[in-house]
Amino acid sequence: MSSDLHVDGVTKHFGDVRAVDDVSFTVEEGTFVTLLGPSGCGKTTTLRMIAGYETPTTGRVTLGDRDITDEKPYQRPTSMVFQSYALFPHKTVGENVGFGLKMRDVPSEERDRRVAEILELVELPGTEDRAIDELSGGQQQRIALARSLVIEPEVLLLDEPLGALDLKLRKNMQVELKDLQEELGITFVYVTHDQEEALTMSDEIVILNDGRIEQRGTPAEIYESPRTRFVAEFIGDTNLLDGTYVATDSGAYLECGSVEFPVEPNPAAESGATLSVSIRPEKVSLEESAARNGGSTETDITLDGVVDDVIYQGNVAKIHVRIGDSELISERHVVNSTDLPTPGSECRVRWTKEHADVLVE
Amino acid sequence: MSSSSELSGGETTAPSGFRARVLTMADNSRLKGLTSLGPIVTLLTVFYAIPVALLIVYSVFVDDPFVTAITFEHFARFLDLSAVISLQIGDLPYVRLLARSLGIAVVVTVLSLIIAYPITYYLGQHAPERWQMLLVLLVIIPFWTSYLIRTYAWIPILSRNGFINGALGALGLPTVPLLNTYWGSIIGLVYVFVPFVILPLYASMRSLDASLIEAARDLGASRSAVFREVVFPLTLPGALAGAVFVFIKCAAAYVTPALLGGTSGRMFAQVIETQFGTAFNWNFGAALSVILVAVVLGSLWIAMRLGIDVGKSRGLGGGGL
Ligand SMILES: Nc1ncnc2c1ncn2[C@@H]1O[C@H](COP(=O)(O)OP(=O)(O)O)[C@@H](O)[C@H]1O
Ligand SMILES: [Mg+2]
Repeated sequence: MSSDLHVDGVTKHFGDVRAVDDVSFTVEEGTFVTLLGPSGCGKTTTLRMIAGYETPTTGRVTLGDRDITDEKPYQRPTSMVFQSYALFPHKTVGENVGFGLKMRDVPSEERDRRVAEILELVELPGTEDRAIDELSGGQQQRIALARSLVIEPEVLLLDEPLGALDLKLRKNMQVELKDLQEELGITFVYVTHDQEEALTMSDEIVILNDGRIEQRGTPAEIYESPRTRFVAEFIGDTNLLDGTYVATDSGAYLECGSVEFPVEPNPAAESGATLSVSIRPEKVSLEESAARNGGSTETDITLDGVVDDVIYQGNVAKIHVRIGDSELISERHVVNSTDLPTPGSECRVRWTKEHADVLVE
Repeated sequence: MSSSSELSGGETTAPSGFRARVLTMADNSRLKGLTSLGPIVTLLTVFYAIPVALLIVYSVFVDDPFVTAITFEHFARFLDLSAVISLQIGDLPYVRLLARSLGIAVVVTVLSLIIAYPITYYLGQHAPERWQMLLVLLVIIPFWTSYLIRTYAWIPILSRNGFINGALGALGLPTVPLLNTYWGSIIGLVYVFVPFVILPLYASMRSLDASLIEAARDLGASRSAVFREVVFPLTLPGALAGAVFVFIKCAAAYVTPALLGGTSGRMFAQVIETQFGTAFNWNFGAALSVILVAVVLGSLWIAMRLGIDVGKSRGLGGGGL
């Protein structure tokens, strides 16, 4: 029997605050799903409803066929890793990791063996007798993980577990956590506000904003095809071109001041609506000569402009181009910095239609 | 923090004149040590060391203004089981009365902890901020009236026809003697001293990270296991700070047992008072005082040796001491 986790139409009110608003998503067994969104968007509340610390105002949480909405945290086959780690400061590493086993009355010999095994897994073998405050932040993080893993949960819930670590350690831990998840095959539900972290680690990302789901999808889907303005701006850098969306039988296009260009039709957008189109900077290529050879085709869009500014960032450069009233950024890898265009020169930008995403609010 | 950054940000020039001299003086660490310790040492000497020294001196002198000789007869009298205090309930040797006083102090301390734990747990971990403010007020307001008046107020509550017995009678239950009994002393003392446990324990509870409790629950701990494994050990410093204070104060309690305890609730400090005030045997009174202090300190020392680290309580609401 599969034990996919289903969050089904879940809403949570705190007094007048609607922290989570009709959220539904499925986490397939053994996958790594990230809840991503800015601070206050309801990530923690959603996670706490899966863990059992909060009861949904409406909606159900099920694991496989089992409705766990009203079960207590310890009745559910879930375990939570807290942002603060929540390690017991008065207990040793071994006592912390063995706590869940002790509460389950596992005999002390078996307990010691399993604790030793799991410490091996998180690469801190033989640390049973150490005090918690002797450990570094990264080590404490691993112990918190070990303490949750030792009770063999079906679903591990992690609330910004790397938030307190410095950047370098965080990058290492991202990779390690993902490897660990694949090795163990446990379902991970991971909460973060860091879009890069979400892109690095997840099989699927659920983007939350103001208590609602904005978009769900694989990291590539989310990055390549944002569907709302919020998602396009929250994930990575992007160019937003505002204009009037016109949909006809033969295709859709955007009227953007003095220029217009074809876009992929978006069924969610109404013809005549004022909206934005997102084009990732690295999808915009730049030709330096303004030689007028060939205009836009059905799939290739080319527009003439003037180089406004060139921002050199080592391996990449961002070239700001003025086109009519709008400005576009083209990003490219730098091989020779002498090849970069000079501000003021005429140029032509080009992208393919599939890289221009029509956004709704 | 903010005021010091204001200072360093606002004033770029070096301070001059009197202030500079004061600052230079304060920078001299040896001087700093002396000037800050000086008044405290003086204060402690005048108010504490001298009276205690006098007490010790009195306790080893013969009870005769015309003879100057050192003796331990007062201590021997304390130990002599045939030297008794006559009470209505019978005669009681001094040693037994002291043991009973310490017993009352232990019972009051334990009861205070039992009462304070659930209250502070709820308030420190669950209650909204306004309720927390309200509790702290409720705990503090009684201190605005005198201890004596608050204790008198218990007489109509505990007396034979008082509140409690009235309520019991109305429910058709047998009445119980409370005023002028052992339990009268205990109830009165618990009432007076519960706040001294609540305040430091509440401070400990508030600083207890709620996610530790959630983590323990998540890992399968029952409510009692959460208390035993997490809440109790981590709030022990606050509990000890309160408990040590209550134990010391109760062991030497005088007013409450005098008003509410009658003869069966009589405590050691009352007998000391009798020696000073009625029997005019200051030397024996002094000896009893020295014994009380020594025994209380000794009990605390033993408690520490038994593994309760009283030292941990320092700094955590220990101001009550
Ligand atoms: N226990 C609570 N009581 C009242 N409001 C809460 C509570 N928990 C969360 N909220 C509110 O719900 C919203 C979402 O919070 P949260 O889930 O913690 O967001 P996130 O984890 O994404 O930062 C916020 O507006 C927050 O203030
Ligand atoms: Mg959060």
